[in-house]
Amino acid sequence: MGRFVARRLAQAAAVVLAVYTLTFAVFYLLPADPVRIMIGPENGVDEARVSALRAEYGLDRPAAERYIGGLLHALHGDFGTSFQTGREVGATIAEAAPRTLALAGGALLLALPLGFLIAWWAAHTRRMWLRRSLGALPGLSLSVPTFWLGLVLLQAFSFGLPLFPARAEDGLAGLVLPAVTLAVPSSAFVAQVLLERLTVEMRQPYVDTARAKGASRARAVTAHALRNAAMPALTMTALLVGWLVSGSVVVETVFARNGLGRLIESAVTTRDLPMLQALVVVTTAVVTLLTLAVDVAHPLVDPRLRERAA
Amino acid sequence: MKIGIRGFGRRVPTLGPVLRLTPVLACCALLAAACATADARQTAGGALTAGLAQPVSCLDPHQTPQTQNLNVSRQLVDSLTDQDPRTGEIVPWLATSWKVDKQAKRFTFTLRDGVTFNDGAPLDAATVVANLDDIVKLGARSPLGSGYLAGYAGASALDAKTVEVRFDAPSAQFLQATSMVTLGMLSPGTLRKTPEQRCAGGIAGSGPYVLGRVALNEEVRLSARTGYAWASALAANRGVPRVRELTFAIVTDPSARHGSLLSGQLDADLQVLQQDQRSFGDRGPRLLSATRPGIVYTLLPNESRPALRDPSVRRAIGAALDRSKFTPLLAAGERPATDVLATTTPGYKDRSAGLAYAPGEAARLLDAAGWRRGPDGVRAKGSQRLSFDLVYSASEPYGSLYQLMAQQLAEAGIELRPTPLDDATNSARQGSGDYDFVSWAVTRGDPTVLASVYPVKSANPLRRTRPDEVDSTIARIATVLDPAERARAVDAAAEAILSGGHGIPLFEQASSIGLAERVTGVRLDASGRPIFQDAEVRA
Repeated sequence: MGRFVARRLAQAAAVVLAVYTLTFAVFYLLPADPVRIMIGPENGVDEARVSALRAEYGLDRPAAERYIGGLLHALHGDFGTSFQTGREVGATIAEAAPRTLALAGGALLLALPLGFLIAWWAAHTRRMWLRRSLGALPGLSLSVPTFWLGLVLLQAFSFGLPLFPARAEDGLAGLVLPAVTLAVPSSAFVAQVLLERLTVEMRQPYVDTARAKGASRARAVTAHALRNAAMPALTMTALLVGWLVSGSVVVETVFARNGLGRLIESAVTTRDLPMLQALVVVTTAVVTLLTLAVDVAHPLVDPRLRERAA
Repeated sequence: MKIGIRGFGRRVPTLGPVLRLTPVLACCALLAAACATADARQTAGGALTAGLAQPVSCLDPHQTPQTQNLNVSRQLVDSLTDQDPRTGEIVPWLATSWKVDKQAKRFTFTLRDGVTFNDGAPLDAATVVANLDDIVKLGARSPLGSGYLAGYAGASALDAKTVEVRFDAPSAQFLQATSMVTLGMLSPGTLRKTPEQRCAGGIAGSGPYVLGRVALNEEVRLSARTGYAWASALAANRGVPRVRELTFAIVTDPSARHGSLLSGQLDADLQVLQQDQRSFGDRGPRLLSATRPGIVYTLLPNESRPALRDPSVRRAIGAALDRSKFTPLLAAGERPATDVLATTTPGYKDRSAGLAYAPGEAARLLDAAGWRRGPDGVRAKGSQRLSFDLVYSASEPYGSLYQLMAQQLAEAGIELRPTPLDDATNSARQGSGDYDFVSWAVTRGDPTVLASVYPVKSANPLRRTRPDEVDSTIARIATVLDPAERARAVDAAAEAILSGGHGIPLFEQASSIGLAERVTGVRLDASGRPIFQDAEVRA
């Protein structure tokens, strides 16, 4: 087990390094100048002053020097300062992270039960039309653009019926609409994976045995098939966290929340490399570590794996 | 954004939305019950919330060139002077009077008594000197300020209330520059802080509002300064603003911002999209528009391109445009250009006769230059076709106008290909000169603004290499302050620009903000920034 974890940690480090390098490379390959974006054409600033500002931010130094210098600092946890705000990247992320954590947590709290419920109901029901409709639901929810759903919810429950504020504010009320928006496609992920496994498991002989011994269909699904089908859904949840972060880019923009998604969006549009690299490293690290945690947790959930490991 | 939404709405099957929304609606109903106390934050009385379209990245007016930042900073700092947005006249603010020498190289300001910064420091002549020195010292970090103070030779306090500012070369633009928020006054304590600390909000000004909570991506809260009594001569209320709590909420999505204004969750939307402007009527929220002074939206040719090196081709393009047809495609407050400068800029003159639609003249110029109609209707000379790309940012709302221009030019045998790009690619291509045409406007209430675009030594979107009468006539504007003399200098410069086809004026740009019905007294200053000094919110 120890060796397994060590190997996976090394892999995770390699992934983070690769992503860091890729971000840097893409930044260089894309034709864009963060200083020109910052100044904007409407101010009529001449080239001499633009290049002076470029030098001020060290953007005129060779790529290799900037990459290695940045990497050495990053290894010490220092990602530098944002081009846009001049503030420390770490502090900015620390300020925004709780907001995204609350959003992702809220969405996950809604999405997991909802996804389980849809999959369970579809596996349980014997009405063909209901099973088909429930089975189609995840595909439908995934094809709804998140920003559209967000705007529809805003229109209905904030602008139409003034139940929730349109802007993020502390507290539960401001969290509801964004969390629901993000939960809809997330629940579809869970439901899709779970339903597929449940369908397979429900055809297994052990389900027939359970039914023959008098278990109701509900019990056969819940107590027997679901336990076997839950594993892939658990693995899925770790990936879902990565998806929630990318989903927050859209949701936080629509609902004006100050979170990691907003930071990512503005770092990309303004080509704010220090900010973007730190964000990418943080989110990649979180997702790889979560995947690792889930893999380690597998034997705890599945006794069969425990025996094999022993 | 809006178009995308409509598109999606059309593609989903009719039963889709209902099915999809069922679980969502169920959840919402549950949660709504759980938080029945959710308040929509109806602001009333002394509080006003304005929606900003971009995140606030830096609050130090000396450093930041960005509109959304300066919109906030404008409420925090005062300037030596103010500019009447209708006449362009410079009026007293922190300076009660001023004198300028004949050569426009020596400016003497007399300061108002009793002005203090919100950290307690008094405003005196030494502070003004320290502010100007600070901007010069910021250098590259003050891209706008270093332009306003180009040729700065130093300033000195003649006595506690009198400041003298000196320039190496004539700098007539400096008087108007003192009205800009970039040259706003910060307290001596603020100037001792690092540029980063100041960006993050560590600033004390003498303005009508004081900085409260700053969450850069979320909101900036301001509160009225107790004891404020020195608003500019343009304000009706010279004292403490009636709106005590002023919040700038960052709402980047235009539909969310517009919906928030319509539903009363915002009192102002500081950037109304053109397609949303139609929804403002006689009742409910209203639109406040003001023409932006400075260089009008102008088609600027890349004169390093072979076909555009020829002045007659450039002039033919101007003559082939029928600006009177632009009007339906323009936003509120905008109108076809009648000069290289907007009507609200000092030195403006109606030159619409020279900008009239003249298809015959365009054909004559092109025929004389040897461009003949090819089989596809586009004129050509040898293997070279009269075909140009116009690069612009896809976030600009003028795509349909550029299409109309392309149609008009096609009739004259000129192909114009409007090329929308994302902001980053657009800035890269503009920076490297990879375009035939760009379309720019530069906002500033002074005719010296021409110097930022047309001369060889400028942002130089024209990619000119040899200075000529354009450069010399524009340089002259900076040396004269007398209105009549200035008008003559601007006249010569505009003549040089138009006769050489260096700029093809298109339309006058306007700033538009949306205001809730209960809000009164908000005005737009000469740079199109909202001023809340006289604002009131009815409960």
